[in-house]
Amino acid sequence: MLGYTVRRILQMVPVVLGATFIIYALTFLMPGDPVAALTGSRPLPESTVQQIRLAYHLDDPFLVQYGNYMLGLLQGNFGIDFFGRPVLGLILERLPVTFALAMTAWVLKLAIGLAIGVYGGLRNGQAGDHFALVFTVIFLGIPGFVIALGAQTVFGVQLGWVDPAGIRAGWPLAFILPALVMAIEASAGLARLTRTSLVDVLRAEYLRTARAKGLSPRRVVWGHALRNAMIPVVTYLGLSLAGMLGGAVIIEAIFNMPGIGGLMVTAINNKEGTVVVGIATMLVLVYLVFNLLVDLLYGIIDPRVRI
Amino acid sequence: MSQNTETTPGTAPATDPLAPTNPITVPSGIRPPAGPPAPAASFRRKPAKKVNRGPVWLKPRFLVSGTIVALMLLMAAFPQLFAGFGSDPTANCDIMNTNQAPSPEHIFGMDIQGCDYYTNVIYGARASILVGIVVTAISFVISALLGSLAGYFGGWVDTLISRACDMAFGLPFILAAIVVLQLFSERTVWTVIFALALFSWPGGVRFMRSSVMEVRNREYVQASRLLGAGNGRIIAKHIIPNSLTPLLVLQTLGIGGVISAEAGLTFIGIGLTPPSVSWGLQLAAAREYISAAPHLLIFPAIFLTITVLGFVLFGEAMRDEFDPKGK
Amino acid sequence: MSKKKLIAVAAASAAFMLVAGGCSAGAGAGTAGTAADGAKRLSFQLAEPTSLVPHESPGSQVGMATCANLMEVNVETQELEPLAAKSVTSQDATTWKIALQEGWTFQDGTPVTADSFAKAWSKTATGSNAWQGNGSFVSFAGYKDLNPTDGSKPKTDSLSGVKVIDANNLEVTLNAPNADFPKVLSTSPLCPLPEVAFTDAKAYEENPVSNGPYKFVSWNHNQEVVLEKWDGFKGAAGFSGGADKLVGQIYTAVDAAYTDMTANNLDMIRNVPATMVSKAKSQLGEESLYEVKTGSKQYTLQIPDYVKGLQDPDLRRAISMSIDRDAIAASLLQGYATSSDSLVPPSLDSYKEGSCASCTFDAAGAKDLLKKAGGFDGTLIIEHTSTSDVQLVQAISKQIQDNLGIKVQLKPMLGTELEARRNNQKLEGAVFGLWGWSYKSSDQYLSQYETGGDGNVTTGYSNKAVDTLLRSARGEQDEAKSAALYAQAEALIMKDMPAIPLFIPTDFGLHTKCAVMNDAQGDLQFYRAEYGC
Repeated sequence: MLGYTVRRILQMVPVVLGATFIIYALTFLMPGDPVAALTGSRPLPESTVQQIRLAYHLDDPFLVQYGNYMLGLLQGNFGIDFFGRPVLGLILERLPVTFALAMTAWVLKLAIGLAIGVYGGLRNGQAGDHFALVFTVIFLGIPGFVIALGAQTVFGVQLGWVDPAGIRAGWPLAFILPALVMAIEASAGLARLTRTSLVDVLRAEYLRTARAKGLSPRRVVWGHALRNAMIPVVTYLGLSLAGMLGGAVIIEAIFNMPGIGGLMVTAINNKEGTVVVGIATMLVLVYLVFNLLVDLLYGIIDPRVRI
Repeated sequence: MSQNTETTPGTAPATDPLAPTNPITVPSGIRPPAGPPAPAASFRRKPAKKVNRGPVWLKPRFLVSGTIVALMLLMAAFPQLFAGFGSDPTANCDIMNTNQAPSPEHIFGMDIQGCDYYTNVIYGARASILVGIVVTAISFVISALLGSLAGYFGGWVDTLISRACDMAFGLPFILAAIVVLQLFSERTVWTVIFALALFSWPGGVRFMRSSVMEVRNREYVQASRLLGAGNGRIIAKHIIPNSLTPLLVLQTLGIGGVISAEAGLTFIGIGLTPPSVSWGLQLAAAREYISAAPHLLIFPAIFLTITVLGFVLFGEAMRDEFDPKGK
Repeated sequence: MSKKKLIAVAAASAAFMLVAGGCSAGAGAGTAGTAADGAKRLSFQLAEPTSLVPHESPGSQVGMATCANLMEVNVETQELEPLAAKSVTSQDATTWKIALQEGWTFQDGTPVTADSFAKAWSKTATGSNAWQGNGSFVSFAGYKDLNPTDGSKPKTDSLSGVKVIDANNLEVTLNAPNADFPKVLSTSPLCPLPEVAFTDAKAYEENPVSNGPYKFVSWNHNQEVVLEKWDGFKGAAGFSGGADKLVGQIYTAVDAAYTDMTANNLDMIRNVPATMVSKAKSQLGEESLYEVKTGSKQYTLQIPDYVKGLQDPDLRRAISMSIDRDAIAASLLQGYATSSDSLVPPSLDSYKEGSCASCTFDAAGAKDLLKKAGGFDGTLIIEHTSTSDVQLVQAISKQIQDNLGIKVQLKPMLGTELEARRNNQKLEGAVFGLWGWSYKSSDQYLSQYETGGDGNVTTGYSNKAVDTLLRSARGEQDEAKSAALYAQAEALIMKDMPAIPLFIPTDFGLHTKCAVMNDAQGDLQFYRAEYGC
């Protein structure tokens, strides 16, 4: 297990390198002049522009810029943005918000998705199952931002149950509505996965054996079927949490939450390579770590898997 | 598939086109799916009902979703059929009619530029459908190729391809898509297709890889190898027929997600740009007018929702019927 | 005063329907205009500041509230009056004598002296510091020495044009006469800095101290900046505001700020888009709107002189005549803009009604002119930022296309890209933009058409007669005479039509009952608001 973990961590290295390289290269290729974003329409005097370009190594060839950046990164230095603020600070400042939002959404999604999935799976082919299908299909179809805007208007403005924007109310009050919107969107996939997995397991030979042995239906379902049905679900859940961290851009925008998403888009618009790559690196790392955790978890819940 | 399904929960399906519609799980990285081959079909009726099956195309689910898909394809190919010949989304506009509410002459009302909204919404189908189908096709081809290579040959080929998948998965989809799309100032359907296709294949590759691995390890395939069959023969006779159909079905399931993704990216301003006509653009423009002119939001939203639903249902119906593993 | 010129660019980074800020973290103190601890509290919309020091982030609402400049607009009289200065005078508009108010201090109790200004200006004018206020000092004598363009280190660290006579007297020498200098003195980069800003710059960034009506209390990143009324401020009421506590709540999207205001969590918003004005009218009521009476901004379609095929003035006039400005203003802009018929907004003295004769819609006349110009068989490219006014650009391009019968292609792009193309003269067609003044002066608009002037890089327009007229207008201290000279210059520029005037937008602020907004000569400044509850 330890050897396996070490090997997996070593495998991460080229992935992180590759991913950051791709993002860095793409940001470099983007049209526009990062210094222009600083100045507005009033061109800064030549000397100032020169100083800025010098300070940020903007005139170096791409590979040199990337090399310098990675060298810094190895020492834990994420660089500074064009206003001289440390990138790591900018990210860490916003990470708690995105993390709280993603975790809340993830937990809600877990509850909603599993409930519907298990319900549908146990009532395979019956009315309840069709309800599950309808639910999931509808939420897959409606664009997420439409749900978000609707929820904001109804619950935030008209009913006034929660603040329509911002995180002034703190966790959990300010996070419930956006997280719920995210969760509803995302629970469709989970519900379907759970349902399918459960249906398959219920049909499997060993459950027939269990039933034949005379185990009560309750024990069959909760003791055997669910445990086995959860194997694919765990993978999905683990990775989806990592994904949620990087992906709440629209929700953060609509609900004015100061998270990573906002920082990311502003940075891309201003062509601030260090910030963009910093975020990308952070998110790739989070993804890989979750990936590893999920695979390690397999060994625990699925005795057939030996790693 | 196991991957960053929720890359943007905001647009949920928007982000990872394959994921939400695809309940098949392939554990990441190192090994083929644990345990017995998981039947892929998700919403199947009970075996007893299978006895009296009529022709596939008469099944209600297939019929309904198929009709929607066919209608949308027709609308994308020949919008004139629906909007009237000689019509043009930008013809006969009068800025003074901006945002006029629906009326008998203009059943969907007028848009911000004072153009007939019905015509515009109809013409919006083309971008969505084109993006959905072309991206899926590209992703299918890449998945089939890379997935078979990785799954069949294993070893360093597999390592290389799997790490590339990890890279593409690990990159936050929306960040990567924004950066790629910002490379282009005017973004047409093809630009968006390029960006989406660039990041839509890893799911398929992983699926294909494990599916091929599983077939390769079946006893009869091993047997035929022992009997002297070459790589080419095994791939042609066993691997492709057993793996390609499920992949095709899987990809069909993803079309709806891709369409959603296009609308989502366009909505946040990094997808299509005018003069393209698309539902995503219409929805983005409508956002400022939600209270003043709700019809701007409602109609493209309905069309988008129905289209995505149609393709998702169609994909599922396809899977139920054609996935050999599901039978 | 507002510092920003091309507003569209600021919008570019913010408008990407993005988020950034949450709001105040203060437990439960969310409601707008409430007197939580008996204090008169007002909140305003803010974007996450890049810096709280006005020299580094000119035009920031926080910087304006915390700094008392030598000259400022008194909102009661709407006149530019001395504030931290007792007097600002000059015989020749080149050498300016500034006498400071006596006994004024910074918020930390240290005295405001001539040195506080001279040292702050030299630091800002030093290119290697890369402070954004740098450009404000180009007209000062000695600027070049601090900003060598050959990459060498500057030989001095102070502006030779700024002389400290004694603790309360300064003398500034400019490169060329400029009667607007007192107005320049009212902009953010000309604020003084206390001694601590030089001895411990890093700490000062975190905890700035200035001499204005409000003092900095705290900055909770991405959430709020809290300011408090400073009781040591000696300026008149017209330079201050009514709130005891000002809270800048951080948003990056005006939509989010608006939504928060509908929930009564925010008191003031500025730069309200036209679509939001109508929405607010029905949702928040007419009384929530503050209409800025002085139009300080203008939409134009500028045509670079270096773009081949667009040089014929008749063609430019034809394009101008094919745009039905009134229709667009009435429909798309919902009446919150007026058609523009001059290169300056009507609020300026040099404005002459109808100075742009071809700014009146005339489709037939436009076609005739086009014929006279020999037709146009290429494609008219219009470049613009992809993040603001997209519908407006589309409407304009549609008008040109339909009424003139020529092909028009839009090129939306990010602000950074458009800026780069503008500054490197790489534009391929006309460019749509919004221009605003930093202070109320015709020079702020017309210098765009002076060789090497502020903003001239876009069109590259150059006309010796215009340059001469503008120079003499700038040196003329008599306002009426100066306005006449500016008007002459404008008429000359108009003949070549390097820019097609489009609209003067009506600027709106949104406010709750408690916040009584005020603008300083067309610039809505949050800290000037009175408390009305």
